[in-house]
Amino acid sequence: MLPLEGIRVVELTTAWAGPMAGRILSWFGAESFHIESPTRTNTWRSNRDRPNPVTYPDLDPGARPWDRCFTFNSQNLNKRSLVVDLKNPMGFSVVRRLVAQSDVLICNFRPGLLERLGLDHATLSKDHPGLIVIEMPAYGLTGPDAGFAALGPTMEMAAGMSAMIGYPGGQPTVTGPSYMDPIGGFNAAAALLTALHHRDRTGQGQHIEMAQVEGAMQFIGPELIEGADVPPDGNRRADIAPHNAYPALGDDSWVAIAARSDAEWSVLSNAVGGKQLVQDPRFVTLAARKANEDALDDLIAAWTRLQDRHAIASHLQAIGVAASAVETAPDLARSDYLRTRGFFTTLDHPVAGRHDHPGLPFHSDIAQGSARTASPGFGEGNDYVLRDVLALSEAEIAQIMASGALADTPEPGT
Amino acid sequence: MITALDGLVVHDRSGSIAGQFCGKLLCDFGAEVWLETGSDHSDIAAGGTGDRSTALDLHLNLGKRLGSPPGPPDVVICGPADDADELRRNQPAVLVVCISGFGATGPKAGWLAPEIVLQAASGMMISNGTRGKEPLYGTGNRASYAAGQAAYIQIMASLRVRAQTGQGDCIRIDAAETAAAMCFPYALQAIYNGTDRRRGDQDIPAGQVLCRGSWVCLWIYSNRFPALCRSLALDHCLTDPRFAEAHERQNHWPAFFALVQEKVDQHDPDAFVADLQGMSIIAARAYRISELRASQHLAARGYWRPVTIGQETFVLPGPPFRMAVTPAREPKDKAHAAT
Repeated sequence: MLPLEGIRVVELTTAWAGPMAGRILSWFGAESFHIESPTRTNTWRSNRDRPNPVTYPDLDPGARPWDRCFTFNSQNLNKRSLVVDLKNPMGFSVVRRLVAQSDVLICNFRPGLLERLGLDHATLSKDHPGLIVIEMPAYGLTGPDAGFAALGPTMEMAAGMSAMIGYPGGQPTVTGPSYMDPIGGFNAAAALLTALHHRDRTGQGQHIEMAQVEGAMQFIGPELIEGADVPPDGNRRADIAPHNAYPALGDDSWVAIAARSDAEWSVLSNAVGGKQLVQDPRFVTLAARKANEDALDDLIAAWTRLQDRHAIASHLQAIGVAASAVETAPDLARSDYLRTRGFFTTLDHPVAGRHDHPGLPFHSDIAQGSARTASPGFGEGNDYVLRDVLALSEAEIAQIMASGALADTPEPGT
Repeated sequence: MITALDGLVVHDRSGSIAGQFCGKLLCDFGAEVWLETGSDHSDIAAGGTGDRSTALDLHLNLGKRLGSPPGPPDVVICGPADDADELRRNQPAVLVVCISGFGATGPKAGWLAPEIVLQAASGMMISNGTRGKEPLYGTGNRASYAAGQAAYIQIMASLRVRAQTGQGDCIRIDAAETAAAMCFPYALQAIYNGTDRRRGDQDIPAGQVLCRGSWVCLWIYSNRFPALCRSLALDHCLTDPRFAEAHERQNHWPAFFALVQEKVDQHDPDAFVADLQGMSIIAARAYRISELRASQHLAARGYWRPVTIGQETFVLPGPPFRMAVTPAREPKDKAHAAT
């Protein structure tokens, strides 16, 4: 069974972190409504700038490019889209009534938005004490930087991570290009499931503040406790050598290799240079390898340079050395490992077409989640909300539609 | 104090960063977590030194009890030698949690999985760094922490089903799959149209400049570009054909940021960030660890959690989220496993 069947979620979210949180809840069976603005389009629908073909299936923006973006369509599986102008009183009323029939409200905009809208927990919980509201501001709801806007890359800078990543003497480096958003999404989902657990036992909802920068800092807890700066040193680490990415056959083709002990080095060195290298005193101990790390990396690179990165990794793993090809997006898309794991689900999208969709990493015998529907088109759920969820009369629906409160096409350039 | 997971008993036998981080989250939010270690404590956490007041151990295990729970646990976070099937047979209502690098089955079953391997396999690493140089794996053990977080999420979901059915569960989390799931969705882009995005070719309106002693990252949306130029007396950029239009600017960001750099190298980084934010330009300082520890913002939020163990006081990071009704337990309420 799906563990969150019967739970209804309203998302006032944009981009990645907030939608990722909602995606996890809907993966587990929650009915999730992504509230979108007709005049400030979700940036992951790429409506602001000229359509860039690489964003769309078959490089074709189509007639509704905002429904065909890989970014939006990756994070909003299993959801409904309600496009509503919250400044329109009838539009606000629709959302207000939807929240009243929901269990969870997710907001990943800057602090103060919910209060300005009258959708803050203090207001809503008067009539709805079981409601759980999470706000996900980058820097928190209080403090001198609370009002700062942020994106994944700037949050990684603010969280202290980027300054530890880089080439020696170089500038800070961002991961992936954004690692903070999915961390924030995971943290928010963890918080909401924890709050639902409490509510299941007590009936009591609550407000949750998830400052994304602070949440991510848990991932570098030991460094924060030690309190010392960690200067960037490429891929090298003080406690492991070799520990790097080495060139392999092909353009921009790399294999990551780490020998975490003298024993692993002995196996690796035998593969790279035979008995002579195994016994080379420059590399026998970790201290010796660290002292001669440039020569060590050069030796390994000379060995990897003319080989296939996947073949190197498979061979080294088979003999007990940690290694992996540095995988590209096309590698992931055809990965046997991920396919065996059940990571991809084929889904039909009415505008984007039929494609495999990457999934989530949660596996369970009794509470397995799933990707059941592709991401919604812009305003796909408008009618469903009015008729099936709120059960409004035809007269009221006509009045709402006439007011311009709902939309199924974003304002150009927004 | 009310905690969300009050009454939940957890046996943390993992000996890994991912497992013990999962146990830490359960402990922080109220579970009674029992930490199983080897007799010499050498396996207290993968990558640890066996010293039971190291930063790694404090971060992962503060508040856990040492040993085995006196009664049947609700959750067992398995170690590498545990047989999950046998555990479930013996305790049908328990949630058995197995966290591994690449899983127990499949084409990469049993692969060794240190952080650099997980990041390489995730699709994330190929985007990090400068084209022409080796891609960068990142820092620390973030993929392991993410796997622990994923395990926590699934435990919370499974507890909900168990409450209704009484059934136990076997939860399986791969750190490699978790890392892939957290990668920017380039895999779907590749499926859509074959694009192969890598470091250096993300067409984002962002760059970094070195202010007095610190780097600052700026993200300049089209509608904020004029304000930035005027604030730095770079008005000529507004008519420069390289920068005037957004699509042209995209090809010349390095040239533009070189001009910005000339203007700001003596700027105070915090003041510069505040000025930019005041103009609705997204920016942040690349904080070093020591600078974070001195952050006025974090101090004002009461983020740091000091804890004294023996004669020594440590400063711990705050909880990942703040729940109004069921907050995380404070360190002062905890007994360290070592004591």
